[in-house]
Amino acid sequence: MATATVAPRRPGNPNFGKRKSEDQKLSEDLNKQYIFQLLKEHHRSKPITSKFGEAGGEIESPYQPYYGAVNSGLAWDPEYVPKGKTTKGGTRRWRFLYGYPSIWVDEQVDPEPSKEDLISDRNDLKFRNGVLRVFGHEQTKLQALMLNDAFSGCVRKLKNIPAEYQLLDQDKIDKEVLEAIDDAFEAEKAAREATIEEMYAVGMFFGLDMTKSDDAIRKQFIVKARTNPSLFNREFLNPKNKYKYFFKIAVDDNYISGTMVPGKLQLVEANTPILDLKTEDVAEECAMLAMGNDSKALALYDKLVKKYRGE
Amino acid sequence: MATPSTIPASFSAPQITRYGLINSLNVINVTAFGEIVQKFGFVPYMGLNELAGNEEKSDNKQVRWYEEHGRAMSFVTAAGAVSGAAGAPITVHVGAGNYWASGTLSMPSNGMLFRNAQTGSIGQVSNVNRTVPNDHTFTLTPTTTAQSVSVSAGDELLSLGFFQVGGASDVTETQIPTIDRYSNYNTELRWDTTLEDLAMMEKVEFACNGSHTFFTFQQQKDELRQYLQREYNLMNSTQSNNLSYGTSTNESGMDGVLAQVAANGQSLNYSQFGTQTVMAQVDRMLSAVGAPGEYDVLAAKLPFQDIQNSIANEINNGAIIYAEGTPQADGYDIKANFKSITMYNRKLNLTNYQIFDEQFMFGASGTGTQSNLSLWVPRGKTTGLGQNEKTQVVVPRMCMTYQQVAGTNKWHMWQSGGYAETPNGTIANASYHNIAYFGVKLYGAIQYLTTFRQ
Repeated sequence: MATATVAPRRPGNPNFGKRKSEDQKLSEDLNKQYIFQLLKEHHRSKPITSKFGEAGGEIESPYQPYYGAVNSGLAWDPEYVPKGKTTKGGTRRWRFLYGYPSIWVDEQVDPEPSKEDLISDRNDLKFRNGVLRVFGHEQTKLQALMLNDAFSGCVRKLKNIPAEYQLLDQDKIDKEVLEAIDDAFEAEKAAREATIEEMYAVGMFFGLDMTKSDDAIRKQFIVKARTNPSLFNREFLNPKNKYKYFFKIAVDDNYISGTMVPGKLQLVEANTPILDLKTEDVAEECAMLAMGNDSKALALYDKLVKKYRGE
Repeated sequence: MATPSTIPASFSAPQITRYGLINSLNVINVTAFGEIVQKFGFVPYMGLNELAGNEEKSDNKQVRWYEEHGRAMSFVTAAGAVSGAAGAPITVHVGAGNYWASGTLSMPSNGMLFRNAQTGSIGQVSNVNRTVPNDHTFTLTPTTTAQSVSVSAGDELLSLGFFQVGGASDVTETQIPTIDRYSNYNTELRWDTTLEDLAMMEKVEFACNGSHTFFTFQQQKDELRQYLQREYNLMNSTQSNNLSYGTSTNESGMDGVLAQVAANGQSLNYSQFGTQTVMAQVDRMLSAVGAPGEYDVLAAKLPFQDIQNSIANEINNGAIIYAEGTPQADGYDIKANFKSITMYNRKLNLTNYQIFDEQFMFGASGTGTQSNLSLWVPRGKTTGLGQNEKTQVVVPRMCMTYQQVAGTNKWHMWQSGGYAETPNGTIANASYHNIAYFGVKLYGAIQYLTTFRQ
């Protein structure tokens, strides 16, 4: 559940943030809807729904259309004191029986349930198209669904069966969706506004074809941002890409070389060694050294930046 | 005395050697295997369907079929709660799962009347707005001033069609029925047996079925084994995308009956079977999808016993004596083996289907998931589109599909090796190969049901 945030009071404003009475809160909880959803999706086995006579179409709902959860069984009751024991906690028979205030069978005695009570359709726990909605006032139904061994959030399972359904936290879902939308917006904004240098540096990470025109690279760059916004945002801010980019263009430019003297990075024109190399991937190794605050690598990087930016 | 064990029932080796020959002959048959049909009354349900002609040769690996989607009358759900005063219009957002064509189309249309299934209130639609995909809105106005059309999230709004549309009514939008295109695949099942020459030399030590040769016996056993595996796989197979053939998404495999029911049918879990509780619930679920009046219940042993016990206990408190002999003879033979039960106008044919029974089939502990499973298969034929007997399409409830790859047979068998009937190798052995390509179509999968004792 989301925690309500209260706006700071300003003088003269009515107090909208005033604490609600217990009664008010209770009635809000009772009207709240809890959404349970099946976990198993069947994308590959679903039919394609289409208009008459037209090809194509789409899968309507990935869930099984009708699913009935078990409505009685054994469950762990942490508050229950079994006969002959003094400590709390024990297994207890439960049964969802519409109209009874308790789900525990030993408490469903007043009145003794009739056969009609037992076979009533109101005791069904039925998911339609993967979803079952329960109001807060249906307390025993909620309890029956939440102590069920097939519930993903069941606190203490008594049976080794896979979880079949979960409780959706609408506030959490909304927050996640909002974050995803923000991510997508940030990524696309960054991709559109990036300088050419930033675009080349990050584009190299995504393996874009750098032989194309800047507009073509920008187009691909934006597509990458849209495809995986969170990865894009992470890599856009990753300094390693910037380091690697400058080392790479210097190698391509034959300003520095890792092959002139094996195991050494040399300044080509001056033919002087800068640092020792362990691998053949000069740009990657130098970028890693720069990330690790290696003074020689950083000094070279500063030099390259000045050279290629024309500073 | 050593404790007899049922495992392993077989092992993998490149070929049958002398030792393997004795094993393969299975001289004394103590398991369910071998005489499964004669001895244990096993019902090969898929095999029977095949015998009944519910099969079709398929040219392609993928098989397709089309079914009408939904009902003649339809509904949409409300996405969120909206409250409105008596007589006042409200704006309703169409809930998820009620869209198609990438969220651009939904059912509500100007002039249409909706009855809220949960509240009973009736309202008329206007101002339909389909500009935002997957978030269509419409105005719902109560048809009477004293009524409110408030909705809660998930309320089902049943379309009454273009009803009470008014004086000089304008043309309404076309309502296009939808159809579902189902697909499945044929997949391969193979069994090979290779005998090395020493094993073939020693075969003469064993008399198999009188004058029958070992080869006949071996072939019969291989065929039965494969027949059982086909039965099992037609029920249990699932589409795959993680096998090593080709790319990871290339191999499709097939969806067996259970996978199709799990995706497009119904399932019900119970902890204790009750003739009047679980069966009543089953009956309600089946009625909701227009199910036929007769079902075959294929139950593993445990649920089968549950059902039998429940009928014996709940119907007339088990006080009925089921006579098999005559009263004149020495009393009664009590028989409490219920072959079928008719309740709520629906006949259920009860079968112990051992394929689901992990104890029976595999000699496993019997505590696995399928030991608690029952599959409820609708009986009879179903009719498709068409106006009369000539144009109507009548199909069985399930249909086995098969391919004949490279012009072979449905079950293709051949020999190879130096000792094959037509020798084609340099090694002194003989190999026997069985291969088949099968799939299954379920028509009206939504009317199939699985029950699971949890």
